[in-house]
Amino acid sequence: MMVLGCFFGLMLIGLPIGYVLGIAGMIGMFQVGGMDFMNMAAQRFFAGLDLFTFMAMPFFILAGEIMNRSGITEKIVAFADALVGYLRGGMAHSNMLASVLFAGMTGAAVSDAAAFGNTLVPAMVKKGYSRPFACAVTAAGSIIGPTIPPSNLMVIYGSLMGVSIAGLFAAGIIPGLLICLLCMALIAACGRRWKLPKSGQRPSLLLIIKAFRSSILALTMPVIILGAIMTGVTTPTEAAAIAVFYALFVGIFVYRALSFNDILEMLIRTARITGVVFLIIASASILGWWLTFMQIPQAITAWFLSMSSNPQVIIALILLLLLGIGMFMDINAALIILAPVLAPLTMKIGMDPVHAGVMIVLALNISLMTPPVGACLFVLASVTGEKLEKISVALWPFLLVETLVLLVIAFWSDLTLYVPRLLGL
Amino acid sequence: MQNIFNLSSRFSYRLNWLTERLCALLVVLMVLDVWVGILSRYAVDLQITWTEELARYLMIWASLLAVSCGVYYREHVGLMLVLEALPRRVHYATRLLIDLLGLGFFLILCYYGINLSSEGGSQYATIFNMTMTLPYAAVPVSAALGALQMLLVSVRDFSALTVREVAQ
Repeated sequence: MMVLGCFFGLMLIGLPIGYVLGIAGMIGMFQVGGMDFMNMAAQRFFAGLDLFTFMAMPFFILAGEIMNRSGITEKIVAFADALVGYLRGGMAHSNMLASVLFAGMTGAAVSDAAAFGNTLVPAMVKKGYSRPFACAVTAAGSIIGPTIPPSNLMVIYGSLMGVSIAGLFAAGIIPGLLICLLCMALIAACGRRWKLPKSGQRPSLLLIIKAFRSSILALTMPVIILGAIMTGVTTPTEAAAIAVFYALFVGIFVYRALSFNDILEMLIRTARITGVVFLIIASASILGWWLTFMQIPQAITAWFLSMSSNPQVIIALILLLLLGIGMFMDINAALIILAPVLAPLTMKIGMDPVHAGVMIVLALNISLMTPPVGACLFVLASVTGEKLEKISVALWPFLLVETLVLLVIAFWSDLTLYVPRLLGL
Repeated sequence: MQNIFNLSSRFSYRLNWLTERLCALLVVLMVLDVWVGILSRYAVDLQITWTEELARYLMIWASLLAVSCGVYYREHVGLMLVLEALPRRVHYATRLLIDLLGLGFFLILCYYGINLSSEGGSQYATIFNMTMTLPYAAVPVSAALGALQMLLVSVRDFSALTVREVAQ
């Protein structure tokens, strides 16, 4: 009780989650075995990070940073714009599509939100879109990135729970495309009512080909990464390292956009982003020891199963829990704490581990944009200077659509598992 | 106050500057190491088996050292909902408490990390006949760095606050 009290109390006063997890875990260790057990805290802290698969995270972050700095973002947006920009609400459409194209390079929603918030939102406002709407579209699109592989959350989930990361990556493709498609349908359906601007002519085929050619090097990267991982040629970590090589090569020799200082800055940013996430992982591993020792996952599983024996009901309860917790907690932390609790439960009700993993990751991603504490909303609000409340109002239709996708993914396992099965993963 | 602020913010800045460059170097080594591993696995058999383990230790060192950079930029964020809503004095008192708790966390981690690292002297890594002292040392060293940086940024931010209050 005391551990849980500390955990929630400290979190509530605003102590960074990385410290909260560590302090609560240490208190738990002390309670169980006194000073002797405390020695384990440092051991667990180290062991929590000692996984080769985790390394895919910093590599994907670095590759994404390099591609971003080489001016890839603009090229991809230009290509997306050439394809769908002429429609009513064209820039909203191309924002969505660019999120998909960009998704193959980045693994985290928050950095996508920051990158697009900086570039696309001002561009949309200039073309006559309202700022809250532009932010809402960007927020809605930003969760496509971490759903379509590569995805840092999937790397974490797969590493911790021993689930095939390649399988998770493959299973993330359909939900990601589905979100994009339905959001674009929403924009198309409501374009008139929302008075979205319509600009420009339908571009000629020549223009599309030109835009495609100038972004081809960027678009090849996800193909290389995913191809290598899903055919089982390389491990995800190795594929991520190859992605870094490819991005560096393109950035230095083809686009000639990278200086020494740029590279230094990107390396530092990679280390810093990784440091923040890894502190959470390492500290969670201290608390994780206590959770396992106290058999909390088993207790929670039993509690869930006592509520209902119907798998559908259990899945609905899990989704509610994830969306609820994701509203208030950093999603990396939520994933690390909840995965060991929820994975056995989903096994008990007969869910495929890959299916369960994708569902959990998608639910947490969606919670990134739910008020009051959605990280993507915060980043967008701070990058664009728009009020959080106004973005939230413009966001809710998209939120509804994405929740719908989540339900489809959760309850229709054959759809989710179609690609992994196709690839024999 | 102005002096304390200048001193702590300058020292904190330099310390972070150095840490950042060290992290960048470690990331470079990690990338190169994994490249060598890939090369040896798929292209030319270099008869090396240590790349994966070395990469793991480099990753742990780089990411844990970078934790102190996160302290410097205040990038380790918590739930701001309640904190923002508190009255001004309580708000600042709570922020001070948060810094102290963070400091305490790093100090305890450092203490037990030293134990871990010295125990590591009798455990062997599978590479280079190396003991686990050096890999394990990432925990106490980065925790000590985190504690120091926590102290410095806390002094930096709160002395800046006092200077502003006096000016008003």
